[in-house]
Amino acid sequence: MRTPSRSTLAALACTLLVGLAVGCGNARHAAGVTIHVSDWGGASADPNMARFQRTIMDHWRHLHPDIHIRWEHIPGSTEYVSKMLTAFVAGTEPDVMSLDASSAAVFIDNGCLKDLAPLARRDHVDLGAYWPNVLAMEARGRRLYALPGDFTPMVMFYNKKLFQRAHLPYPQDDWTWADFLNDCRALTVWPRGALHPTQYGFLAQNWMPAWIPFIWQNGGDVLSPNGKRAEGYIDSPATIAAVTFYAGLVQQHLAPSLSQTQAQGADPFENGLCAMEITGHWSLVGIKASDTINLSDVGVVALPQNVRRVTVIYESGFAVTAHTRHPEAAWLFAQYMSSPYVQIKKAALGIGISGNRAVAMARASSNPLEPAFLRAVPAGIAPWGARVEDYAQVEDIGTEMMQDVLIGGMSPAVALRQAAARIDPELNS
Amino acid sequence: MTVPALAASRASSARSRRLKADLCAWTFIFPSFLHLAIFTLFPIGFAFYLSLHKWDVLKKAHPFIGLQNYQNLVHDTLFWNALFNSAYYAVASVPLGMLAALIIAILVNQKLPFVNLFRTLYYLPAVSSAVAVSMVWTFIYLPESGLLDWVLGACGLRHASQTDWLNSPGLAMPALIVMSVWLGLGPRMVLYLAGLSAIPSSLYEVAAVDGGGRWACFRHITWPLLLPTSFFILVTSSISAFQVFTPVYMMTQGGPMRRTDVVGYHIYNEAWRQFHMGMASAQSYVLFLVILLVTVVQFRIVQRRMAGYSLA
Repeated sequence: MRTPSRSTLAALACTLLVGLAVGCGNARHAAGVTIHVSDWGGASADPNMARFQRTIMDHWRHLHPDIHIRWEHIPGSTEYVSKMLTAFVAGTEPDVMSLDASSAAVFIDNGCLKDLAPLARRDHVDLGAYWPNVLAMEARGRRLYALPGDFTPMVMFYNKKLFQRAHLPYPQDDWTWADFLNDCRALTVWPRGALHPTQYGFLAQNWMPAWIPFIWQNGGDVLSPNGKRAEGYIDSPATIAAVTFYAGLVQQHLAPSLSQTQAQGADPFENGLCAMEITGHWSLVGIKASDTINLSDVGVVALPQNVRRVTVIYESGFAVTAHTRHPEAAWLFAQYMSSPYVQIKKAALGIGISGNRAVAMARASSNPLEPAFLRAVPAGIAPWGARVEDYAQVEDIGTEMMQDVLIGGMSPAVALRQAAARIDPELNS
Repeated sequence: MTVPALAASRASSARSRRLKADLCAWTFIFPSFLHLAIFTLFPIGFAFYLSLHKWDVLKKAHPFIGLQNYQNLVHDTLFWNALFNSAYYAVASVPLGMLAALIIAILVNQKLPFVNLFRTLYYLPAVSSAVAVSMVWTFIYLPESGLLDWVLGACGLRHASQTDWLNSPGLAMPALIVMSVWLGLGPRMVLYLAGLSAIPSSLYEVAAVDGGGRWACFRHITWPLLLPTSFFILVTSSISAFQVFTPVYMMTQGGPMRRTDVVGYHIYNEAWRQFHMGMASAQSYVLFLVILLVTVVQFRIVQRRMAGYSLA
């Protein structure tokens, strides 16, 4: 074998060194500080969102030219939590992160986030400007772990045209389960000789956030008040009755099968296949862009009530991570994202309702659908994920429980008893 | 210079050249080795270390618990269910996939018009994104509005045209298997084509002279000479089948009722939904042992058959 010359070896070594330098290089800004911000979703997928971010970043640069923002969008809400947790373990977490109420507890209870209450007191931040039950989701007693961004209560969307065609009055906020069931029956169209209904009253989803309000409305729950125990709660008579009611909608063919509902890319509500759907404010974005349904044909009403009136609120806020090297800059940015200036621009996108009451009220006065959301806010409570660290596992088991009922034909009582037996060891492991 | 001194000088020079050559070789190998060490060897070792600990991602304490995770696995019915599902998937999808690939390879090995077009078409799944393919097959399997149900309905199969393929406990896994056969067709077909093209045509000519028919040619020439190719496909396909993840993640999420919860997906959930890294690592090692066992058994059986063939 011919041995290489010294110059060849030197060139090889140089190439390796340059490669390492490029690979490990950190494009730091020459002056000022750079803070890293993480949220979920990709702005590039939505031109309006991308435009919004460009606008606010231009404004931020004008206000704070010495604080540079490096923004990382992480697609997928489930993957977002996993990726952020991994980043915390690796010590590569951002300085500011979007915190979703449904997974807040896992970050708060593990000491990932900075208590913002002392900073808020020091800088005289008016916390009274936010919706109290929204602010409370990111708090633990007097400690505050995020400033509210936007939120939504889960509400019922309905297709006005389909109601008109069935000669039904639009539902009102005080409607009951009985009214809802009657409407579902009246809105389901099953032509004689057809293999299946050509129109369903309701879009039932095996997505726990969509059906847990039924359990609460019936006076039941999935966990004990301290979030440590499922037995006696998820298998209580009130919970069993609520799950029986919800599953019955599919079993009576008033809602399509789970597969049809799960089909991605085609929304049965937007397509006019289902007359009603439980969802949040974010769905307005898709409806606005839809070719199959007009925004003016959509109505919004509170969820039907039974024993009590209640819904769940999902919220996202801005949290500063506990070990950030730039706490003051990060705090400034969190305040900025929660400020009326940004909130007004964000609310215009239609993704959520501003956590700032004044901004939300102002928008409600000019948008016909907003008041229905705001009326649902007082009945809104935090998702369990804001309070219980391991709640994601409860949701997984809940989803499987509903499959056992809807697909396996298991009775709700048996399925819920089995779910309780699986959840308790997970919560106490 | 004396003869011994000259010899010593030559030996020293040869040693120096060898050292330089070795150094050069190691310099070129080093980046690959570094990559292997960081991204393969270290994770293998660290996963075993994790499997001996109660290691939750965000907990500061990671107590050593010895073989407790492995002991817990013995009583973990959900893990055994996942292992059973993986075995079911492998046992069904690998032979079916091999058979389909062999048939297609024999067909596209004929001298027919447009044969290259067909080869390309059959290879297409191999260059498609598994995620995109899974989405397409999800739509194919949709009840009522899916392509499969539509075709069945058009054929007059009224009952079958309402089948909820991916949400039916008995049909979800077969549906995944059918998709996997299509997805794995391209690479297997190419391997079989390579094997077929390596068989000397003179063997077929001799067989024809001796009056051998097509089936006899296949049985006594094609199949025996394709055994090494088949063995390679069997081993690699079995390993892939036990590691299947993407279609399950995209199409069924382990459901309905955990009927498609295969080990790869089960481990993913344990690690990234429940953050039990210790338990997930123990499950990974058990999966490794199962794959190792399956591979060893395959080697034993096939080697014996191949030896039998060579004696014949």
